Amino acid sequence: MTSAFIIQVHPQLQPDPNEETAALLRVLIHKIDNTTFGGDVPALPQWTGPPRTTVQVQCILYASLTASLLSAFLAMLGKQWLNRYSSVDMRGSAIERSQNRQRKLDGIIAWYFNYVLESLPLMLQGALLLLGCALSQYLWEIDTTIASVVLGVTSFGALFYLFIVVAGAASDSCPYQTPGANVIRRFSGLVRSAYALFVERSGIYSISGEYWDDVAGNTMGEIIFMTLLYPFVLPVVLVIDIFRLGRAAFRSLVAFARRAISWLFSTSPIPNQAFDDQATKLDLHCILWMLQTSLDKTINLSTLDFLREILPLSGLDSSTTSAVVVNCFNSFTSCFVISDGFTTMVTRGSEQLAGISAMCFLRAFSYLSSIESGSTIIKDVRQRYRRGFPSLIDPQDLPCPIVMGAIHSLLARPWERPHIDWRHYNPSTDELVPLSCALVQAAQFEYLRGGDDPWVPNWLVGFALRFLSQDQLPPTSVVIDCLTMIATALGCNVSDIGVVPDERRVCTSITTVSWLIPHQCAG
Amino acid sequence: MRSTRKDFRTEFYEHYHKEAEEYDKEFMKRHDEDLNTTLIFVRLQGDAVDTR
Repeated sequence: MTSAFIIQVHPQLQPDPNEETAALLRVLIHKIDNTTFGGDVPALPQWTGPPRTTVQVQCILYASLTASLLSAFLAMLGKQWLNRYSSVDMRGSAIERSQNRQRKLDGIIAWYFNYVLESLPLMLQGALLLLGCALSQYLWEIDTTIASVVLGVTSFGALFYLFIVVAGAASDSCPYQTPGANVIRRFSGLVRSAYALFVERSGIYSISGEYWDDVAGNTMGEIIFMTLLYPFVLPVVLVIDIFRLGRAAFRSLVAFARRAISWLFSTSPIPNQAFDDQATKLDLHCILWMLQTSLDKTINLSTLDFLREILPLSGLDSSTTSAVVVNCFNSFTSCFVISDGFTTMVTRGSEQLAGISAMCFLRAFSYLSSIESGSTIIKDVRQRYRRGFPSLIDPQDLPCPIVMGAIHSLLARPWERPHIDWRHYNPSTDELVPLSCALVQAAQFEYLRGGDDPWVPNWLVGFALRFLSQDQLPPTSVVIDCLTMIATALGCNVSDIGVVPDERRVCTSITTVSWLIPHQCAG
Repeated sequence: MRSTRKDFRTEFYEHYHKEAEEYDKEFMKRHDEDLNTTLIFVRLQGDAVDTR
């Protein structure tokens, strides 16, 4: 349609040959019989280039045409990308294929594939708008009445689209969603925080506020004085504000440049990650995806079973860990019913899921607190826990008393902590190893949280003492964890506990023991 | 008899494979339809190119 219209307008860009012929004929007739045109002497018309409006109309039309062609091109590319995504490598076992697929899916999220595909039609919509503009401008030159019809419809369409975008941004449940609404919703948070910053820092805002306060509550003389002073103060404050804004922009630019330079010249750009670590990371990504996607209870159970068995959670970045924490917490809370505000009950049939998800949650939570102690997710989860669960629970009634007790001790308010009796706790090795792994990180976190007077809660130390004083020692990793926990309680610096390799942890343990022996002798 | 770690892994990935297939089918269908709509629309605009 656009191109048909272009063909229609195009001849106006060149001199019209018919007109020239007619003019020449007129000159010829005038030469033969100069009474034909009265007193007029016909002259050859001079071509002065195309009319201005025609050029403008053509510009807009060509922009529209190329935009729609470009969007067709991108749509074609998009189809190819989709096909490439769906063609999972057909070799290898189910595990390899699944991991391959997960890698692609992670890429899709990291590169905003969905957003790009969804905003492709935007270009077409722009092309349509341009066509409407060009059409109305062209027709305006010919006839205003016809042009006003086109103009009316075009502006109605544009207004309607604008309304849809605003409505979609304002309400999530609005069915008329557009990519533009998505963008606005994402940016509205940014705008709000920028406004809050403006209110907090800006001199202009505070000066104006003070002025209006003074107008409200002062005598006439003071108001007149303020009003006279106001125009002088305002420019000064404005200059100060602009200076501050420029300084902040400059600083962030410098910080960005510094980061970019350090990234460029970093000596070890690729962390020397072992193959195992990479595989575990992919496993965890797969698990996270399953937790987010699946609603089936048996599938969730198998996923969490696998998550519990993965031993080192190390090497996982904090955003993935946060997502794991939130998802584990969700499936954990879905297993419980709080009746009459006090009694915590497990929903029927979820006993197994409750136990496993509790363990997974405990591990992921303590890992997250060890890598990012100030995380908002930790605060968020803690708040949700305190709101959802009663303040006093008796872990003995629940299917997994020890783990539940540990979770409650970590998440509830300090004075609501239950007493955990480790004496009669005889877990299997399968349960003990992940538990000790989680508790050592929890001890670290609790110690750091203490502030000026750091200490490790007794129930954590009790765990360490219980398993170290056994006749038959637990597995080596548990012994190391127990010793590290005691080291933390004694105030040794084991801050990078989550990431240290095993050798260093053994060293820590030896330090603990060597620290303990003289003190014990003294005692 | 408890299953070993290996068993958990294979069992999990079996579930994963099934779930992923379903999800991807839906994902593909959704985006493919979107792109088809775009292409049809472009063809409406471009039809005139052929009739020229």
